[in-house]
Amino acid sequence: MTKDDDDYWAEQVTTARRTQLATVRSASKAWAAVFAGILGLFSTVTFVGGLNGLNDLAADSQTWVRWGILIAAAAMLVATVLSALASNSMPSVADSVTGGAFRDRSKKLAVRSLLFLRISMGFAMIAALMVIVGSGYIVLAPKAVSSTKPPTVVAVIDGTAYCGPLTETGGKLTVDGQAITSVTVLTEVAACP
Amino acid sequence: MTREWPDPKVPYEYPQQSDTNARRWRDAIALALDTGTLRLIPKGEGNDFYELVGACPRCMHTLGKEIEFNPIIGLEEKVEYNIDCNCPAAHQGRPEGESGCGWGGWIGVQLSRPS
Repeated sequence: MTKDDDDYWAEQVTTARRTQLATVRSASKAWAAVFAGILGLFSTVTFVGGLNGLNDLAADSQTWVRWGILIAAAAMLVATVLSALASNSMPSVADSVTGGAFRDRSKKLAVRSLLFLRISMGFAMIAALMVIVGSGYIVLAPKAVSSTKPPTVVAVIDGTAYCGPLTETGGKLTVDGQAITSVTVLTEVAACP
Repeated sequence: MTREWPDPKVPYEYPQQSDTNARRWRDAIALALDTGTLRLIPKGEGNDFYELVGACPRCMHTLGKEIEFNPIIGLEEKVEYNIDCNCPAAHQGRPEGESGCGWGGWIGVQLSRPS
């Protein structure tokens, strides 16, 4: 490189050094947008959108997946808040307006922003991992065998009305313990009075 | 022929790209820091900003440069710095608008934060 090139790149280093707070905040904003995008996917694609599918899982699995949803949501919330903190400053009253104090404060804020950004990325990765694993599980896990609930009926047997689930006992259909032998009326109802 | 350092009468010279020049400047800076002719003086309340001040190892005139440790500019932690002589003293052959005796330039020098 020529001296001109050397001088130019040395000047670029100085500029980068003097704008590091803005650089970190800009990076944080970009990552906050990524987290918001992931959150959007999270709410529209399988994991939350698949809550209907959650009901098809076995009871034990449902509990684990629900915990996964809570952890993923909490992790994404923390990631979003931290990335927001990293990308924005809270205006405050200064006790010194010297160049040196401003320089020190800028560096301190840049270091803090970078720390927040790194932690938020960690939480976002946890959330993303939970979403991927949870979604995969909901899609791929075997569905629980659905148990058919017997219908509730009102049956009039020998002039007396009986109400209850229609069950089978000893090879005979029964309502409320009464075997249906000479039924005159049999009506399915939502519930017994 | 290599001129002996330090010499206040050295002409202005931008160092040529060579390992020998790099080694010479780095060794000279390290020696100056060891002997105290160059010093890192803390600036402000933080721990990252220092002023490198003292005598240029080549011309013995005063140079000064702000040094920031752990800059967040996407570089690795182990940072090299350009330490240029920027003394106001006259040096034969120095172009208009330039300062110092010319040395430093492209040569990166590793610095450690004073303990």
